Amino acid sequence: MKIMVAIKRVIDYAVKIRVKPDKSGVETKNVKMSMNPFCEIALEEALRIKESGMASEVVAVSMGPTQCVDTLRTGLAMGADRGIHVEATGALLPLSVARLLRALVEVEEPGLLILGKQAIDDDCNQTGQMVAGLLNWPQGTFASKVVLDKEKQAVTVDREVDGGLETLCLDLPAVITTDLRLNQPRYATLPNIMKAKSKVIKKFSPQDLNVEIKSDLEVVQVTEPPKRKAGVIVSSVDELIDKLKNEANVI
Amino acid sequence: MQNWGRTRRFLIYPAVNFLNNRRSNPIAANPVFNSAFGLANHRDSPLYSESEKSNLHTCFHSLRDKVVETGIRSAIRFQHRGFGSDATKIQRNPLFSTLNSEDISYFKGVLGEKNVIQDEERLLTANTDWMHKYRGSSKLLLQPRSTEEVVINVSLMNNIISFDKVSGILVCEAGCILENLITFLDTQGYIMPLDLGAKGSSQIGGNVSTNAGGLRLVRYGSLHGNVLGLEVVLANGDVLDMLGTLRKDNTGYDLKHLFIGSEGSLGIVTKVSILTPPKLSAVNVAFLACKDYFSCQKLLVEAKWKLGEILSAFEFLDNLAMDLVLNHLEGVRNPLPPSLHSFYVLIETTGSDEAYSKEKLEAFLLHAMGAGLITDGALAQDINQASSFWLIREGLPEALMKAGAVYKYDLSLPIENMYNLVEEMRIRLGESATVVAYGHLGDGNLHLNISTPQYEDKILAQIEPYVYEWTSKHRGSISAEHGLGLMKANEIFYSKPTNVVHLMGSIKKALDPKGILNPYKVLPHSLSSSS
Repeated sequence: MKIMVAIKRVIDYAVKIRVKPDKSGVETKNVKMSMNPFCEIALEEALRIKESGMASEVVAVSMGPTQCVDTLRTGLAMGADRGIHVEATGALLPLSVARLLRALVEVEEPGLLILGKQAIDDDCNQTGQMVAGLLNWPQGTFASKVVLDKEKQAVTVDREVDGGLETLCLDLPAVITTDLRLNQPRYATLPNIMKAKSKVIKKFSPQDLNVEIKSDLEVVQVTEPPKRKAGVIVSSVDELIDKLKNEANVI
Repeated sequence: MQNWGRTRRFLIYPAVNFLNNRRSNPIAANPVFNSAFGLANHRDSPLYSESEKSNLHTCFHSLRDKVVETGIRSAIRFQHRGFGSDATKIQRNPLFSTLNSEDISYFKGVLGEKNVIQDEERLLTANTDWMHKYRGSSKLLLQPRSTEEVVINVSLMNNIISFDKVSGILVCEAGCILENLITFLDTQGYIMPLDLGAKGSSQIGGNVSTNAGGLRLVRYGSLHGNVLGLEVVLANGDVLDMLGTLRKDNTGYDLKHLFIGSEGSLGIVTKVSILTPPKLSAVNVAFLACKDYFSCQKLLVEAKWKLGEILSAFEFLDNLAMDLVLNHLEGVRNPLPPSLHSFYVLIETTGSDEAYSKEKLEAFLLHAMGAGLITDGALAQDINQASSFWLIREGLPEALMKAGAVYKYDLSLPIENMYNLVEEMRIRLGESATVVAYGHLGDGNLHLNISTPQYEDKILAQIEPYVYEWTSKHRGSISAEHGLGLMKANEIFYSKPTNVVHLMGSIKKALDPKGILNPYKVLPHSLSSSS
């Protein structure tokens, strides 16, 4: 069985972001970019499934400008077997990504498609769900545990939901999106970095896949959240009630 | 309130027993407080009669008795007492007079009620060093806000005075915490030229007074090169304004170098002007394993050649150090698959072009692997992974603290023989202690740490003076970056000839004739008693 993992190149999680002065977006020049942490977890899970013998190949996919190849190289250095780069400049919103992924799934025919639950730059949390809908595949999102059953061709997923944990059983092929507690991703060790140099990254363009990148959404403005105001110490219960009523308007 | 155990700027009453020891996070200048204080010299007040001789009283014992008496002490205090080393007992200099209530009122008048601290709990924390190895007997702690007042603990003097974006020259007060300065400079596109594991609590004045080394010395050099100017307060209360912001100034003797590294014994640093390097965006960290010490050395040579201008840190630790960190620190894991590695090396590169730097580092690492210099390695793929690699190295002092008692030695040695000392100490101590080694291999600086369940005199006897003699024999330094303080003041002769030390004594006499600034430290006691 083949596993396909979608990974995204985003601003590094530890970087302090700044909004561009013209409010059109976030400053990305000279800023460190890395693989989305949830995508790392997705790739790690795919690698573990392969190492347990239940999959034959892990294919990493990334979409965007040329630099995405760096992120794919990291994925290969972690242990993915092949890479696919869909070259597209300009904004790629979740629906376009989902359409591209559907096209790739039809080419590669994986048994499992694993993604991170959301990207830390847009926090959309939509791509996995959309692609499952487009493919008409079952989905297990916010996975905190994944157990494959090869004979039954099914996968049991524990999901982190607001009320606690929900366990689902999905027939393969299926879409899984990963949450933080699923695993701890491995580091890229030198022997693997060396092997990665000879691994193949295939390039596609959206036209090759017959997908038109169009967006029904337009980013109008990006602003920083308002700065948190200092707290106020109230001197009596009456003053507290007064403030809650008249200033905060909550009672 | 600050984490007193770590902020080092507190005053020490000339105590009988243990005055502060330090680790890589140095104490800043402290004038010893007593009635015959520096302030007295320009205030002819009958309060400060120096002819007052005090009786040699065992301050420590009186404090300890108090501890037993009061009974509200928690178990932790008693545990700390157990750690006290019985080694050195300092005789209080009879020329110093004792604290009395008039002095306390005077200081309250100058500083305000809040900044004169007599509370026993705070005093106990202030009097005990981070390792709970030494305990002073100060009865008073002062916190001034500006140079005009008596300077004892400068953590309230923590303003950034100015920063020039073009030249990168930062001027700030001595109480600024290093990490805060780093955060500030980050917004301006610059970094501090020094970085320590303890940046969250160490103050820049202390870093300067002890000439702190840190993790990036191999790239940016020492504070002697980066500090452009200082404002210093002398023992007689004179304020020396040497706060230049010029890269070049050859007018007369460059006195600031005397104060850098003087550990507060010549004057108290109150303001610092420092040159900061630009913040380069491409930082890469690799964690490597080597099979023996010889490979580590060769790796260093290769790194200097092949990585050249982008190399910014080269640290090493041995496998016992790694085990310690994995066992005692939370959230730490070995980046490399478990295997019999003997040595670990952490290499950091900082450059201006991400793709170029990464390529260069990767090429170097693959070449090193092919040449058999490294047996395995991991390259951090994002900032989080890089921080976790650093946590292993920077968390070592903390892990050692948690493991029990530790004897620390900070030695500069020729790189070829450095590890031989570690192996010899292991043979000497056998089963009684765990000898752990790590350090700034790039600077030839070994941090030798001997971990035992408790402090014991017979273990100490096996270690000292053997370590100092060994270092001296190889023309090394018994204190590479940690300074001499109390612990090594009398051992200075292992690294400096007698006539040099005597000249240091003359300089001390010239700048602090009454010997009130940080007495009993830095220079041997024999020098002050002969005066």
